[in-house]
Amino acid sequence: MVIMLFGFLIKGGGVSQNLVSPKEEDLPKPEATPSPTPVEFHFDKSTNLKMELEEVNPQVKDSDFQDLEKLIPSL
Amino acid sequence: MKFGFLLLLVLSLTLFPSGTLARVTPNDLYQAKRADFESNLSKISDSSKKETVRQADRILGETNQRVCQRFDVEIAHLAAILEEKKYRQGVSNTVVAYGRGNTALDSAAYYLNYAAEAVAYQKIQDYTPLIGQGNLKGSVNTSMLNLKSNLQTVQGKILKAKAEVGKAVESEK
Repeated sequence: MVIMLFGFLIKGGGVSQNLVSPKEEDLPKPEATPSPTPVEFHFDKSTNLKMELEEVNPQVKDSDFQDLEKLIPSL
Repeated sequence: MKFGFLLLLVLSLTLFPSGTLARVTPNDLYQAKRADFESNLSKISDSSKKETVRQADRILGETNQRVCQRFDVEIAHLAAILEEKKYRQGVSNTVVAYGRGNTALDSAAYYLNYAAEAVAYQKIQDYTPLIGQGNLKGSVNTSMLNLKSNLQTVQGKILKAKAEVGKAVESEK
């Protein structure tokens, strides 16, 4: 049992070595995401904050997924 | 006997560190997923379908980043509105780390921070289609629906932040 335990520990317990320590040549190269220019908002005491708030409109548009939806039927 | 066994185990783990002890990081899981994807992709015999899957994978990532960047602008807008309100009321600090605070400004800052963190978290999510089972259409569709659903959840958090900032703008204090 001790010998079995030794063998288990040395061999790494059957965990895929690729998961734990993948070879560099197997890994896909990461691509840097370009950083967008930060948008700045400048207000002063004359700014109507309620109107500014009305302009805030987070959207998930159908058009965002149009390209994907066009691709899927061809698969 | 038991003590001896335990001592032997501790010595073994110290002297012979094994692969099982290496910490698997989120990046390891991501790299394994990408390696699986590339491997499964290479098995697709139809070259036009292979190219379509590759395109879909790319578009999923680009869509996520594009929508998150739009969300970043909305967060920046809300933050600027809140900062201006704080300035007008002569408030220099708001508590966000440990609860929502006592005032409308505190609550707005809390929900805005929560929304900003949701956007940051969403940006790093991965939507690699799981094409191992061979159902290309299904796996790409599933990734697309997951992405859409997750983005809508983040949208909801930004709208909540907007509502709270709105209350702060209306408030006197």
